[in-house]
Amino acid sequence: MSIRDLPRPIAVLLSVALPGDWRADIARDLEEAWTERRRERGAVRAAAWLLAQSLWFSLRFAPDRIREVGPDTRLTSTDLKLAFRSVVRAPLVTTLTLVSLTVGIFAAVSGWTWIVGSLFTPPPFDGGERIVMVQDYNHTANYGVDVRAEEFLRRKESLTTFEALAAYQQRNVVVGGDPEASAVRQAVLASWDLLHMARTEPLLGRLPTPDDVVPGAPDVVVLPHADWVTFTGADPDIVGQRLDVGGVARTVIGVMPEGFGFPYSDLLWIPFDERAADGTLRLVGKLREGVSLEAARAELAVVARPDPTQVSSTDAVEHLVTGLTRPMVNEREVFILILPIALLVLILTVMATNVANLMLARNARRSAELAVRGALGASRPRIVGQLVSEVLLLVVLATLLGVWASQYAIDVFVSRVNLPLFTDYSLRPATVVFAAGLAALVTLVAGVAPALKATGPSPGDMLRDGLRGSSGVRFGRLTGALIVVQVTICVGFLSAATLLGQSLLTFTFDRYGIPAEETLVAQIYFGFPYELNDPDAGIPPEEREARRVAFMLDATRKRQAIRDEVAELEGVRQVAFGSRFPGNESERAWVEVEGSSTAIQLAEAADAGRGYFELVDADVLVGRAFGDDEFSSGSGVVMVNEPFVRDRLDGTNPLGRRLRITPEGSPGDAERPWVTIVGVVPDLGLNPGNPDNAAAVYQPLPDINIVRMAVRGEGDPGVWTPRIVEIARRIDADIRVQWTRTLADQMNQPVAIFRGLGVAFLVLGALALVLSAASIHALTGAAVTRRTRELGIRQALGAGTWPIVQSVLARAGAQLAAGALLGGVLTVVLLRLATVMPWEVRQSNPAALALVVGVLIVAGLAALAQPLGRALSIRPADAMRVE
Amino acid sequence: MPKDTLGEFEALVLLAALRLGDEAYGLSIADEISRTAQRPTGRASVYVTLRRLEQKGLITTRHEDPERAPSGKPRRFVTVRPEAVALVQRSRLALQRMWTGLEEVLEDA
Repeated sequence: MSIRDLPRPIAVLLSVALPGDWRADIARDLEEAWTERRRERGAVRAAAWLLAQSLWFSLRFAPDRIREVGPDTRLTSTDLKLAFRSVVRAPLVTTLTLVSLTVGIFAAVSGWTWIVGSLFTPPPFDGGERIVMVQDYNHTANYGVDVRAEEFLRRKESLTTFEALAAYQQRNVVVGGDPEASAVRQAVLASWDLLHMARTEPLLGRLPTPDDVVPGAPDVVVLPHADWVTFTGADPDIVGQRLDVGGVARTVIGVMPEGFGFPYSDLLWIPFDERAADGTLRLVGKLREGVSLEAARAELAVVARPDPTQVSSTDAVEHLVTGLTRPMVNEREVFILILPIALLVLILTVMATNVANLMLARNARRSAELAVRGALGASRPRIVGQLVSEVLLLVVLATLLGVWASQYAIDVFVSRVNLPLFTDYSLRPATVVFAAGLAALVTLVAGVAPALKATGPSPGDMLRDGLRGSSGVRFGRLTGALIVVQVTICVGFLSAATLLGQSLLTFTFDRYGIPAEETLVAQIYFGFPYELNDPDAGIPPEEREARRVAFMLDATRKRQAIRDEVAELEGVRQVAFGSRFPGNESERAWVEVEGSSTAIQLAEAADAGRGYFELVDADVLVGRAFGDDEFSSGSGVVMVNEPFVRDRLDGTNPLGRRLRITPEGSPGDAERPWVTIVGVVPDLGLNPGNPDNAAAVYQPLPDINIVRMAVRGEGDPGVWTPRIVEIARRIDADIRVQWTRTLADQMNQPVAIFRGLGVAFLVLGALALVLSAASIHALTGAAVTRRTRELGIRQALGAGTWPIVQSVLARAGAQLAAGALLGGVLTVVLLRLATVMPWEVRQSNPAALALVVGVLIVAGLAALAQPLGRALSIRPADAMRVE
Repeated sequence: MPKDTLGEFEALVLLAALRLGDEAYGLSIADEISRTAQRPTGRASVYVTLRRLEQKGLITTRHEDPERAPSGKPRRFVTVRPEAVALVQRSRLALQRMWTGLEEVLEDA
């Protein structure tokens, strides 16, 4: 009579839940009733009944079990002392366990902290959870629809679900009149009542009032705490004084408290009359109490009349009302963002199961010790408690380390980036509960499960096994499956890391010899008359084209004016415009070579203005650069780089060859004119991630409304930023300097991100490899111990070396092979995912894959060598002795 | 050390075991209570109660001869001890005394 006659999950449940003195009898009676029910009502209904009964039995006996087992499972100082001794005695297993669990908990807690801190932090003031962003999105044309003053005022008037609705525009402004102490800052021109929504008292002075925005009222500003400190030296009498903001002397009317930001962090506030506002407005509102987002959306859909110049009658437009801290995320999408956490918890669980394998193998070797303890009167819960305490010690340590490392890493990251929204990455109670939950999960998987399995056999069996040097603990299909999962992760991540690493880990921009440290890059936007894009605006096509050309020509004139003035700045030696510089996002075009039998191919594409190549120290290797008269559309010339000549023209003379270049979206457009190659420059790193596919074409920079400007000279390039903003504003108040950064920062940013990704893959893959090898080693070793007698008898019956090797390696070999196969599939999936990244990743590389397979084979052999050696050294006499 | 009083369900289990005599074991006791007392009886409750009664020393248990077991798996039969019979009797007397004089009230209700 045995509980094992029941289905395995039921047997496991009952073996834990029922008291030992009645367990077998209850199992017997349940089996009798189950058999009868199966006969009468069918297998499925009988199985459901059995499961329900088992759960009910478990619940009914739970109070008795807790009362009886509780004292036995209570940890004592002796337990902890023994656990500590056991942990110290096995440094390799301890280190492996600690490192893998720490990494797993670190990753899961970091993911949790990041997502919860970013998405679920309401603005930290009264009623902050009711503050929303209001946006229209044109799904047909894929862009956000601008809202103008008239539409804003109509919505403000009509929307009843909103307590308040305010508008704002974002601007870069130079703060501080003294050129030596000024800086570019972000400001919002905002409705006077915007700050009132936040219900926060200013530290000094007052909030704006309607009187501040009437025509003829003095220009005023409200300062954030940081700017009050930076620009006024925390002057307590600043209110009423004037400060140069955006070239205007504005009276400071208030200073907000430290840490306050609204609707984003790190802003100055300039009240404006939205009725007179020119250009696009952004809307932020506060819902009335008890109003749901759905209700507000429904009302907005009725009230809103999107700008007809941006939305045609057939376009699908969504009216978004979203919480301030998650402007792009609605309730359904939050679920998608939770998925990464689930994935990280899954990876942690796989790591924990690996630790479970190690513990299982270790417990199996301790059969005799456990049996003796049992024989001396220790109950099963007592022994389980002792075994679990060893794992618990490591889990607690790993959890503390993981949480600490996660907080540290997030602090470092946050200190380096300017977060635009309300975030709170501090250690919240919810994070502590989450981490405790992870610790409980890991303890259950890595501690309780192996301990229960190890103490399952009766003390007699265990003692017998222990004395003859074998173990009664069996390793099931689940254990094997987990090893396969581990090997899969190991192969997949290592392959991906190797392929990524090839282009990223060894990558440096140095090889291009670009003067990155002394060059500043700025993106300049000249605006655009949106009505020209509206087919329903009633503008005749000829007029539309003429106005578009005129606008672009004007933009080019302003661009030249900016260039002339920036070139005069102190320390500046060269200024050049282009559509992109090294480190900017990739732009590609289809290139057809006249007279070539090769199909058209994509190549990197850039537009270069005057002085572009000189600025990046690129010599024209063959031919010439663009002439001054060639910077207009239809000049019919193009320059290419060396890789283009090598790969696309087979190294032949490029000068005079003709190319047809068409945008990535319309390959091989026969309407496009042929252009002639006039010069060749070196590879300037337009596709640094994959130098083998670096062919690039450069066309003269046309008249366009958004360009990048590179400024090179002596000294710190950062000091030119305020001057450039000032110059652009002086030339035209609507010109926006959208961002500036040094070329070095621009080039290093993507490299740093992808290097980080490559290193993360490498670390996870290597960790998975070591864990897999350790698991296979431990389990195969334990299996050899368990089979000592059988192997001895085989030897006695004349089995040669090879059959023994086969029988020992069959299982581990199958696991490795299955893992390698699935790992190959995972690699393909990961590399397919990598294609969405703005970095070229090779889809296959036999050498790299061979390296991974080689590493796997070496690790597998290393893991199996010792157990195999032990199996081969078993002699028949050993088998007799253990009996 | 047996307790002086019985819970209602404990009394029902003991009475069912007495009615079944040598055939009293977990399943048959649950069936007997369901059939005779005409109230749905969970098997788990019966086993929890049997174990408690055994710990109180009110019943003893024995395994049947495996060769005589229909499925080859011996059942665990229950024997009610004299102390338990005395407790059941005391319980019945207590109830009877409480009933006395209430026949009219309870029968009308």
